[in-house]
Amino acid sequence: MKPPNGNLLQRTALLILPRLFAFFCCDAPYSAAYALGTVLAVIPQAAAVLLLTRRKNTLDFPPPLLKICRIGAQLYAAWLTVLFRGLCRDLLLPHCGLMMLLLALMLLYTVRQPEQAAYRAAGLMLFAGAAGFLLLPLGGPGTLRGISLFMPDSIAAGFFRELRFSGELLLIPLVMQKQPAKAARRGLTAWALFRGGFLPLVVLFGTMQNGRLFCRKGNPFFLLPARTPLTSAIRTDGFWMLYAFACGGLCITACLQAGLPAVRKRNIMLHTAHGLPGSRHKSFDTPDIRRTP
Amino acid sequence: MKKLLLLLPALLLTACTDIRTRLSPDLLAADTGNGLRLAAHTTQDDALITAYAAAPELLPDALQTASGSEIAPGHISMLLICGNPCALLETALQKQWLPPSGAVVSLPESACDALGSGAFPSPGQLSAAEETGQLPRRPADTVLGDLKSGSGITALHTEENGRLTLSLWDAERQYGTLSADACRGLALLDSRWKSFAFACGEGVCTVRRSRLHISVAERDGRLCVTVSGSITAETDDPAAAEQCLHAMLTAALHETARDAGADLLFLREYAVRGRIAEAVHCEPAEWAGLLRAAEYRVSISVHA
Repeated sequence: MKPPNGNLLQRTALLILPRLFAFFCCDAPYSAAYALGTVLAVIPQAAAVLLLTRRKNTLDFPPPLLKICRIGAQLYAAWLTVLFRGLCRDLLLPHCGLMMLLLALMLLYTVRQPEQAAYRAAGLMLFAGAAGFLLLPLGGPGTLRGISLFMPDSIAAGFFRELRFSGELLLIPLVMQKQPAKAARRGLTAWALFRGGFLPLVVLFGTMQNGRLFCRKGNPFFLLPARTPLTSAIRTDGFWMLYAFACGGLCITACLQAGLPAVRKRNIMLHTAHGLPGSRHKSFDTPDIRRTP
Repeated sequence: MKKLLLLLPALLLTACTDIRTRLSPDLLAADTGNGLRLAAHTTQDDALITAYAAAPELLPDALQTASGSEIAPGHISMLLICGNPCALLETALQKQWLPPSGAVVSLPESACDALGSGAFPSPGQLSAAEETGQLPRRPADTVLGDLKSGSGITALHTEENGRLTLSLWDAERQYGTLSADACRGLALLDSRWKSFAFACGEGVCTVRRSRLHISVAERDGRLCVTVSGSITAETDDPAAAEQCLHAMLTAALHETARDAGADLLFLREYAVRGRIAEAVHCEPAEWAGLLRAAEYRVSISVHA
């Protein structure tokens, strides 16, 4: 039987993408201490989250916790919107106001879509991001400088920065509710490995690539595609810009949808599936009332 | 219908312009000092635009006003600077006018005039000098990183008496230029050359492989910087080759770190790795002072 509202991969993608978007928006310069601080901050979080999945067959979070998480998800969506505005400014977009208007219109449209659409989009975005990251290091080995890893910096700053970017913890109960514990454990392990393994590796790669460029303002990630061109003809800067904005829009939508109360969600689904004549959207967890006699 | 409505703001965001009215400079020259005097060479019509700007942030506006066209600075591959490189370089990198791997060349006379007369090293010449090990690679992000971290002193490519060399700069003044031996020593330590050959005694020595290590230790209250390792070279006279290479590496260390306090070889990071506490906490100026007082040793062996 197909699980309602997204499979495990899509659910995991929905946990990973907000952190990835926040990573794109963070303007802290890369250093080995930054990476180490990140790892140290993720370890206790991962341990606590994985402990939740140890005993029960199915994850069943209490309603008061879900209510708190819903409110938190709405606040997290607001915070991601602030980051989105900052990203527009950092990437020197010519029309930041219009970009925010487009985001607002997109949210008005996408929040009313079934949750399944956000899950599917998250899965696709994760694959697109993985493909982009595979291309990133290919042009770089010749210009790596290992000694840059010893650039003096504060581990504590990296630790607290990672704690500040831990908002997706609020999404875990909402996304993993009623999931088999074994499957949830796999998804959460992937999420923890992404935060505590993959992101620090990207930070280390960036540190070795742009050694000493410590005081430059702006997002260090977007220096990497420019610093490591595959060839003079193929550049990935444009891909990463589009990807970052798409990732932001999707994450804000997903947080807003996750933050909606269950009754409101059901009403939206009934409205989109059956309220509009000719609607192609199908809900997975509501019966098809048109077929009932 | 809703999707079509969404397309409208998307089209507005593309900021469609007629690309025939857009100019893409490939070379940018700036004379710093009292305001900025700018010159840009455009690829489309091989023309020169000159402009004045009060601050580096006003550079695109000044060029746009002077040319009457929209300026797309994404294709600038080389920045020629006369005067203090710090302010303009930071803004140029931050605003993404210059790619991090773009070349930066310091000129003793007016860079704008040099761009007009063609009296400057071309990107191809610089690239060839880097590939043959006559100069180390000094892209824009490395230059800015040295100015902001390390000891606050960087090295820029320059031309002196028809010879490509490096000129040492901090955020305010120039310290001087390096000898040919020092440039070759820095290139050897940089290890990004494709071929490295030099005249040695009666013949030519070609370096095939170099495995050099830098270490920084503290001895009797002074820093001791040591370059050690082995070099494999094609030569008839290994002893003479060793002497030449030793002289290059010594010149590189003495002319940059000992004489000017310039940290172009990531010596501060080597000191942090060597657990020298001063390297972690000191200011760039203090680190420059420590480098001037340091002892330098070169210990290499050459195998034919």
